[in-house]
Amino acid sequence: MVNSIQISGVQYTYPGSDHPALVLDEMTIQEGQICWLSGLNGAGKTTLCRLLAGLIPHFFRGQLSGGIQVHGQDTTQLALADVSGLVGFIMDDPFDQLTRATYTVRGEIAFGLQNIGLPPDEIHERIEETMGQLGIAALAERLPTSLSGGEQQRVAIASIFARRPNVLVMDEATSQLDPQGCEDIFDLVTRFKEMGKTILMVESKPDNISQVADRLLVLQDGHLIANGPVKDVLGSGVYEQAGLSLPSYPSLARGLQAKAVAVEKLPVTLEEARVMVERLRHASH
Amino acid sequence: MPAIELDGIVYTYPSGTRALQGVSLSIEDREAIAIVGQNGAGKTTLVKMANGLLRPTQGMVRLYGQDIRNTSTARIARQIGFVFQNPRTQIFLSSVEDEVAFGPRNIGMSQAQIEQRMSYALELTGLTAHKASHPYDLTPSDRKLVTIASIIAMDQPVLILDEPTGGLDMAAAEAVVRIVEGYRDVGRTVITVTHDMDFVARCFERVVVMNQGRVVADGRTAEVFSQHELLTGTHLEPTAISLLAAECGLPKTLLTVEDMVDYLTT
Repeated sequence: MVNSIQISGVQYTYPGSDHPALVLDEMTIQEGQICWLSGLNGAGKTTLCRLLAGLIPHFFRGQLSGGIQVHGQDTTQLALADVSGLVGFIMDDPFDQLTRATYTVRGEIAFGLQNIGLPPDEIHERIEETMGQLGIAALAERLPTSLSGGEQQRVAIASIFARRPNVLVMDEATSQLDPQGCEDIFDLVTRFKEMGKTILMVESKPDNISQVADRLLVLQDGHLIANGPVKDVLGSGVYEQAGLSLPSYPSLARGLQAKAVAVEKLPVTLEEARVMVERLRHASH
Repeated sequence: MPAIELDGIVYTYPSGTRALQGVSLSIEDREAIAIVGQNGAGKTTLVKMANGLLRPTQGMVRLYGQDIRNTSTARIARQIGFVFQNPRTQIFLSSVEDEVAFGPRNIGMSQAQIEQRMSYALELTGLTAHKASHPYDLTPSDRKLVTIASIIAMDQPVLILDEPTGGLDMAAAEAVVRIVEGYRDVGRTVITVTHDMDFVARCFERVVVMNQGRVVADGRTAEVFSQHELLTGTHLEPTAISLLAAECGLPKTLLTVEDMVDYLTT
C-alpha cells in the first residue's frame, strides 16, 4: 500500500498561545483506508484536520514545524487552492462551509467544480450523481440557506464529495444528520474507500464509525497515543484510558465483565456481539 | 393540567412548504418527551409553535391551559426556555458570564437571584471554570453548553432542547444527559428534538415520531423503539443494542447497554 498521509516531527502552536495544540512525532496513514480520529475536547482533532486540509499554516498562522506530506506533496509548500484539490475538508457546521454565493443547491455544488476548471458536461454529471447519492435531488433548485440544518449539511458534504479529492477529512460532518442520512454518508464513504481514497473522520457516533473504520487514531493533549486497527485499539484499553466512551458492543462486553461474566474478546461488529451473547446464553443453560 | 397542548396544528412557511399537517399533542407537566424524525419532518417547526416563535396557520396552542394566540413571544419565554440547534443563533455577548446572566436580567430577576441561577447553571453544565471566557474562544461543544446554561439560568418550568447532543464530543454529550436528568429531578418539563436515539433511550420516557409533518407514533420509548420497521420506514434507526436483541431473538425493548447487561445477568 502507498502512504497517503505522512507526518513527521510536527509541532503546531496557535497564534497567541504558548502551548502547542499538536505534537506529532510520526503519523502514517496508507491510502484506501477509513480512519476514525478520536479524542476528548481539546485533544487536537480539529487542529489535525486543519493541518491536513492546509488551513494550517495557510489560514491559521501560528508556529508550525515538521513535515506534512499528502500523496507525496508537502502541503505547507503548496498554495491552499492546490491543497484543496488533494484534500476535501468537510466541517461540522455547514454555516462555515456553504459559500452563500449561489442561489441554488445545484449552483452550490457546481461552485467548487467550476473553480477547479472542469468542463460543463462533467460538472453536470457529477452534480446529478452526487445529489442522487445523498438524497438531495429534490432540493436542487432550493436556496441553500433556506434549508434545514441537516439538509444544509448534506449540501455541504455533496459539494466536497463531488470534487472527488484523494483524501477526505470530515470533522463531525454528520453531526446534524438523521440516522438514515448518516447511513447514506457512511455508505458513500465506504464507496470512496473502494475507489482507493483515504478518509479521516472525527465522529461523535462511535456505533456507526466503529462498523466501517479500518483504523482508530486517538489523540490526547495534542499527542497521538494510538494508531492501529479499530479492534486492537479498543481492546488495548488505551481508548478508555483517554476518557472516551466505548461504542455499544464493546461497552456491553465491559458491562458484563464488571458483573464477573467472562468475555474472551471485545466485540466490535453486530455479528461479533451476536456470537458473544449466544455463547453466554448457551453457557448459562 | 398539561404543560403544552397542540390542537390540530397546520403550518405553512411563506415559501409554501407545508411543514405541519394537522398535529395534535398533549405534553404533561413534568414529563420528559423526545420528538424524533428525519431531517425536514417538521420537528423544529413543531416546537417553535410551543414557544411562539412561529404561529400556526391553523389550530390552537395552549400553555398551561391558556390559549397563547395573543400572548407575546417575550411573555411565553418566561415559561418556556428554548435552546436553539446552532449556538450561533443564540450567543451574542463577549463572556460566558454575561451570556448566562442576560436572560435572567431581562426577565427582571434581582441581582441575588441572577447570581444564584448563574452559579447553578454553570455548575450543572460544568462551565464554572470558563465563566470569564469569550464563548467563541471555547470549543464548539462547550459553546453549545453555554447556550444550555443561559436558558437554564432563566428557571422556566419548560425546557425545549433542539438537537442538544448534535455535534458534541462524548464528554459534552454526557454532560447533556446529566443536565436533562438533573432538570427532570427538580420537576421541570423537558422536551427535546433529536436524532440521537441512544440519548432518547437513556433520558426520555415518552417519544413522538414525526414523518412529513405528521405524528406517526406516540408512546413509551421502549415500545416505540422496539418497532424497527416503523423506525426504518421513517428514516430512523433502532439503537445498536435493540438491533443486537433482535438478532439474538431477545426482546427488542432492550435499548441500552444497561438494559442488556441487566437482562443477561439476572
